[in-house]
Amino acid sequence: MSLPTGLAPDGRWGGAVTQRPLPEDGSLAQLSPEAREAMLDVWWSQAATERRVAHSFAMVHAALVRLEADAGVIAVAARAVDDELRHAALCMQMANRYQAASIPLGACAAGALTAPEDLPFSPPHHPEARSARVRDALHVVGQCVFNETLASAYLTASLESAKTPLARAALRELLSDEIDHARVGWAYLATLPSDLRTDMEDWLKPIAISNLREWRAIVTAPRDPAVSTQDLAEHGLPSKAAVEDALLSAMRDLILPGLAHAGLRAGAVSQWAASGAAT
Amino acid sequence: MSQHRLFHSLVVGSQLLLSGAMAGCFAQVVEPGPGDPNADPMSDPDPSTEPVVNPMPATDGGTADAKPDADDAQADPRACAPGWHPTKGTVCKVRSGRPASEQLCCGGPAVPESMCCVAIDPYHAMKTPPGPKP
Repeated sequence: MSLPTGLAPDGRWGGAVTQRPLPEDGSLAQLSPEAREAMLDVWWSQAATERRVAHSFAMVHAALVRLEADAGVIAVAARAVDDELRHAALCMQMANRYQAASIPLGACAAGALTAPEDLPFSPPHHPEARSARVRDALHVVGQCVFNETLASAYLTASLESAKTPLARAALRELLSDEIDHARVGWAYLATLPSDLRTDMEDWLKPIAISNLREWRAIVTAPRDPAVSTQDLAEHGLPSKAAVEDALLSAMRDLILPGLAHAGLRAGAVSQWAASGAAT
Repeated sequence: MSQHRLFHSLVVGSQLLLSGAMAGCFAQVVEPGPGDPNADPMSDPDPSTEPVVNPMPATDGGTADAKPDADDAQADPRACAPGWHPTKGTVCKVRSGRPASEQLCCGGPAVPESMCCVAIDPYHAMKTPPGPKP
């Protein structure tokens, strides 16, 4: 599945990466070399992971077309491919800012970073799905209702902890798009055809578990103890505890009420979430 | 169950995407005012917009179809499959000279490679410790 080579001129910001240019931020130069390196790694890596999600939305868009979903929902899903490519470019801008801030200390060589290579793309296959149509619906619900809603919750936690103008500007840009991407799933659920309702209800718990597990990898991963957690948080990388809280809260207080709002029976998910949401 | 600050933006606001609602109405996150740090961070360009489709009311309170002996997380094999790739908070390890299919995406820089996502069967790559095969 090949992606466009550049940003779409009719994309959200008319071919620009962001709504507004990212601000200058002198606080980067105040960071320890270790913290700058950590933030550079995070943004550089995120450029790769955001680009990979462009593939996810190409799949979701195709699924929505086959499902004959509402035209407005399909249009936003199509735009999301370009959104994710913009995110990758934004993340590269951020990585370059953190690298540039290191140059006076001699920690990094001058010059722009090279964008990371494409990461392997391995979406859920759902071989147990009863039909191709159910599988398409599962792809929309898994990526948009669960993954993008958890992403929105993660970014909200990031924004809460971030203090620096550059981080806050970048996170706002990302969150604005992720909200729209999650809305694709919620709008689809609101218009879910009746013949898919029972299947979706049956799948809610397993896809809740599998998607939360992916995000919890952030929480379980060790971090460099030499880097100040507070410094990272102020630059938009929340503490592990804040991430876990954000993910659990999103599952319990956002996704579950959202499923109920869509008229879906989600008691098994509710019970699982209430008992600690083991993954 | 308290309502999440993003509930209105994501769930109720999703109606804005539907045809005939507010075509071209994008979410935009703005800096919050000084009064309410817990306010919904999202604002739409047109704050007067309201959902044009009445959402379907919930048919249960979240527990009506729960089985008393609900399975744990591992009992359903469908739950063991990988989910969608997350986009935030991971750190990639670049292995110079290796093809894209052998690049890794890890939860942090100190994560051993056996715990990272790889091209083939990422779930087992995460869960199976390295060692001799039976």
